[in-house]
Amino acid sequence: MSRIPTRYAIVALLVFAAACGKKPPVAPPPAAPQPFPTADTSGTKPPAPPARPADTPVTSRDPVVTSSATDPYAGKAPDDINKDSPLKPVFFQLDSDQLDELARQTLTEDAEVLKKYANWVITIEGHCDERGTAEYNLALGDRRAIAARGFLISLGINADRLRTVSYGKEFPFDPAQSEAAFAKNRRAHFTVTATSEPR
Amino acid sequence: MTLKPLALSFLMSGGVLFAFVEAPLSTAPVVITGRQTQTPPPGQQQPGQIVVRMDNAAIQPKIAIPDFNSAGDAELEAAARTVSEVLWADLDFEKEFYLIDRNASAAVPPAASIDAMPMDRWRDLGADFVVHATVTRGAAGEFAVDFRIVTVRGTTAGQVDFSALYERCTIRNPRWCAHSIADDVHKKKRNLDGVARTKVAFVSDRDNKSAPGRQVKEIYVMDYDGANQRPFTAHRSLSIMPAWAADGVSLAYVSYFGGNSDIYLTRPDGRAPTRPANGNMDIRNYSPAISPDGTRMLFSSSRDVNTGRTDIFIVNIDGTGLKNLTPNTAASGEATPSWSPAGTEIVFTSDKTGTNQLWLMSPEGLNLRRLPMDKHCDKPTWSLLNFIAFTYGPQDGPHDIALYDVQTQKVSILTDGQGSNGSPAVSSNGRHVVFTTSRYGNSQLATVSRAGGRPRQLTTVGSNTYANWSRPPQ
Repeated sequence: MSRIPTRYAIVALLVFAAACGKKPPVAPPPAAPQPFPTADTSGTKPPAPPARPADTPVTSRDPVVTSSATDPYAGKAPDDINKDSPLKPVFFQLDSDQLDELARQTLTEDAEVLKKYANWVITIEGHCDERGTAEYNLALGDRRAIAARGFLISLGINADRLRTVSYGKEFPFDPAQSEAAFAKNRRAHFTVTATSEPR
Repeated sequence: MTLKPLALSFLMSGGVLFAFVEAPLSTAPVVITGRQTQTPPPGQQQPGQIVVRMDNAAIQPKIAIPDFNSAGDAELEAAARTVSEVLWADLDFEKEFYLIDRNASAAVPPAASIDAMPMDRWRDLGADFVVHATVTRGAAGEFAVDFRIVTVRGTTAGQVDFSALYERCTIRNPRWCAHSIADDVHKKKRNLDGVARTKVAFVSDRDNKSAPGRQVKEIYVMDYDGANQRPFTAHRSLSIMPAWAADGVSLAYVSYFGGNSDIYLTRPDGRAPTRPANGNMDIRNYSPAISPDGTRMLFSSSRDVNTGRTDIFIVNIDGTGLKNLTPNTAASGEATPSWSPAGTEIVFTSDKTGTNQLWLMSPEGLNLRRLPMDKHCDKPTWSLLNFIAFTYGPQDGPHDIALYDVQTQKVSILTDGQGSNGSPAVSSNGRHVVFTTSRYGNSQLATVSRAGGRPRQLTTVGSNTYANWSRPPQ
């Protein structure tokens, strides 16, 4: 059945006041959109949309660890860095959030990369294969992401640099119905979400 | 008084929100006047009788719904035909009437007046009743349906059993007209609260081609019968777990667009959504459930950065009074809460025994007890008719939908073992369950009646999950 075409009318440019209960002042990743930024909500006639706020400039000096002149990531935005997949994912057994030997090895290598690029803030995504309910897999994805995060912290990575999120079984990397595909989907996946002052 | 339901779409651009208001598909209430009914309706059905009634064609009055009479205006005639077709489907859905086949009805010559109706032809088709309706234009874009149900056989053959005038139907939305008539006929003739005017909210990835490589699923809404499937959110992120409030208009849902999973609650007056669970980058909130009286919200939340396990929380709708109802459960995950019909009990899942099981507790977190099941359970939903529908099966599937009758404490399996079936939501009259199923190849939504039987597929495009069923508008 075709969807009814929707008619949009831009009623107002709405900038939302912060919801009740201010969030603690966690430094937001500059490249990500902010929810409900505080601003004036009065005025019914929509003004022209403001220019997109500039990204926080990445520090122009070298990061903490002296790098070679051919540092490939200097000054790059997270989306560009992620195209290189500089951080390798770790994989899990069915229904498990336990890190096996290979996973710990991979995380150790990832930790070295994170120490080298001390200005990266990353998000660890927990993913699951499609068996099991959607709700159960959101919980399992959380536990997988947190297991990876905990191990990185134990290797000396600052906890403030490591966010976690669970995608459960919502976004499988391989949609095929095979054990090989399922194994690829049971993972903790790393993305750089901000580059900021080194910590 | 009815609030016009507004679909608000929010687009983030450079940190500023634009709100797009979708012009509503006129669902202003149909005006009903002059209603008369000759035969009193049966007594209110007890929950235990529903399956018996739905399954028993022998006790269903047999009704024919031929095309309605209209004045020969092609546009009006088309609208009238839609009304008669959709009304037929709405009555057929509840199994309170037995519907005479539309093709058979079409063979009977139409009659301009009731006196001219060939009752012998209707008797031949097995009808007990036949509808006679005339459609006329009203104000611009509107029409009225002068609607009669006429007795076909017995001592009162030819007499009008039920009559009503339905006004302010719109040419633009004849389905809504039919749904309004169906709900009125069900209420007045069968003492049944129908669901023809209800909606199903769900999650779909069907439009994420617009964001290649991005992880996008949006909240969608459709009519209970699968018509009018349309997007509700435009966050260009992952949005899941829609949950209607009892007003049938406000919708809570989980979205990741702010950076991590938080709960958003829309408001019928079009003001910005609120975030009663007040998430931030270190908190993950899931599974909103608004209390029947609309004052509080249950949800599950992971606020422990070390374990990631969720607890059940309760909070006032205005964000105050946050309380963890399952503290001291660091080693287990408590999730997917649902309110009892009176708001005095909570059912939820916990894996503290090693695998997900159903548990009950009070809204203060007291009187904890397990509903023992022999398999993994998930996503319990407590119907207004006092049974709990839930996902049931081995932890890794395949699953079926099971029903737990709170009164008799009996468990029955509703689906038939085809594919994997889960995430149930129950219609407000307790007669139908909408659920996610893999039986059609990928993830789709279907409804099945409490009497079981063949499910009806609602979605076909993309991957569709997390259905939630609204109440009728107040």
